[in-house]
Amino acid sequence: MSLDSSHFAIFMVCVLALYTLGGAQWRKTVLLVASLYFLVSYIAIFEAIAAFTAVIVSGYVMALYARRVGRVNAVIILYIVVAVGAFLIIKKYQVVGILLGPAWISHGLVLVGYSYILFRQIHVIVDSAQQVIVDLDFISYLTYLISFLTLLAGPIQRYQNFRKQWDRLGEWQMFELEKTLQAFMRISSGYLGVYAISPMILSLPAAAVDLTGLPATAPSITLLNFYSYPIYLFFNFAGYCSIVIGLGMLLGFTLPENFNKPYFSDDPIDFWNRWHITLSTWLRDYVFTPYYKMGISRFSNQALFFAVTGYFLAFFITGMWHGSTLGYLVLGLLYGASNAITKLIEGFSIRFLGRNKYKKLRANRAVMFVSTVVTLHFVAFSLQFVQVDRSADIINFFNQLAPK
Amino acid sequence: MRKSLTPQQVKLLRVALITILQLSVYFFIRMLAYTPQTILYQGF
Repeated sequence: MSLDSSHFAIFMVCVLALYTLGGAQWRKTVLLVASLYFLVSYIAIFEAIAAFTAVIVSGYVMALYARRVGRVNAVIILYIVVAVGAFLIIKKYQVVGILLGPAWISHGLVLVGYSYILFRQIHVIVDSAQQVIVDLDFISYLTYLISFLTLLAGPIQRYQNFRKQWDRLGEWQMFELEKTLQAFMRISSGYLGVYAISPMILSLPAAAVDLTGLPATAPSITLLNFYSYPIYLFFNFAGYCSIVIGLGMLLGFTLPENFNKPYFSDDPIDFWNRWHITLSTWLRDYVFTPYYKMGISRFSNQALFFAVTGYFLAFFITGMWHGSTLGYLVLGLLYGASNAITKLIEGFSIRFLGRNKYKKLRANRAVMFVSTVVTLHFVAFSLQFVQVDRSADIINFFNQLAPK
Repeated sequence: MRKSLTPQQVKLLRVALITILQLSVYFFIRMLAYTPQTILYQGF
């Protein structure tokens, strides 16, 4: 169900109309049924529904177990490893095909939204083990995982945050003038971004080829591609987030913001603090921090090493998570390396210049301007690996590197 | 005597006007027959 379809418009009108008819329990039921309907509109085949049921129920059982044992033990780690392995196979990661054989990824199973569900599930299990989540019930857990607002690509909301708003649904006053106007402003800006501006920008290179008669490989068209793709991606994704944030505002949910002028970032780490913010914070909490803490608890004098390698690991996963082709593997390597190098430069600069001089350097407008331009171009460059599937080129490249 | 708008009313008016402007631009671009892309961010 595309968000610009009449199907979705009717769906949303029904959800809002039904929402006005009852109290807390009724609204929760409407949200759950609407989310199930939205999900089934994408996966209306028995195998996918069975796989989703297995994923969701096993995650719930594991979260209850985690809460009972009160720590992240070997069973929980094994479950997460198996879940990530299943994710790589279900999403048909080319790396799996290369390492284990093409049969592993030649299935027809498609689980829409699984990337986000997996991250939410790991968060619920780990936070349950750490007793951060104490009141988990199946209905709120299920709605949290498959909520139609965030199923496809919305911000990764935390369960605690969701639960707080879920518990107050009965008090939610619908259609208050200011809130409703704000919500429609977000929704309209989102639709403008996703369904008007971004397709227009994406079609610019093709339009330029048509208008000028130049070949698609001409330097000027390549340059247009280079700059238009990151802009397209921003309007597409930030626009989508705006739509769901606005829809959430109408339904009593304040979803976290996911963007903060990302192309004005002055280094790759700053970029990830501004682009897909909820993904970065998820990786910080569930990849970087545990790795870093584990490292310095054993080797306390190697903080910089664990910070640098932790950044590499977290951002390598970020790149890989975005897609299954080999281009995303390169994207992961680039993201990982750029963030690790940034951290390394920061560490050495502080060591050799001192913290005050380093702060002064970061406050210098000229330095920051150059740094922002370089970061922007680096991001645009890294995205070229996923703009079109370059798997064949990447395999060729690695084949050439291999010893003859 | 002319009654001026309260800051709250001005804010609401601003939000409403921005919404109308955004929707107008949206429909205008869609009218120009650009093929709407339903490809979302590759994240899902």
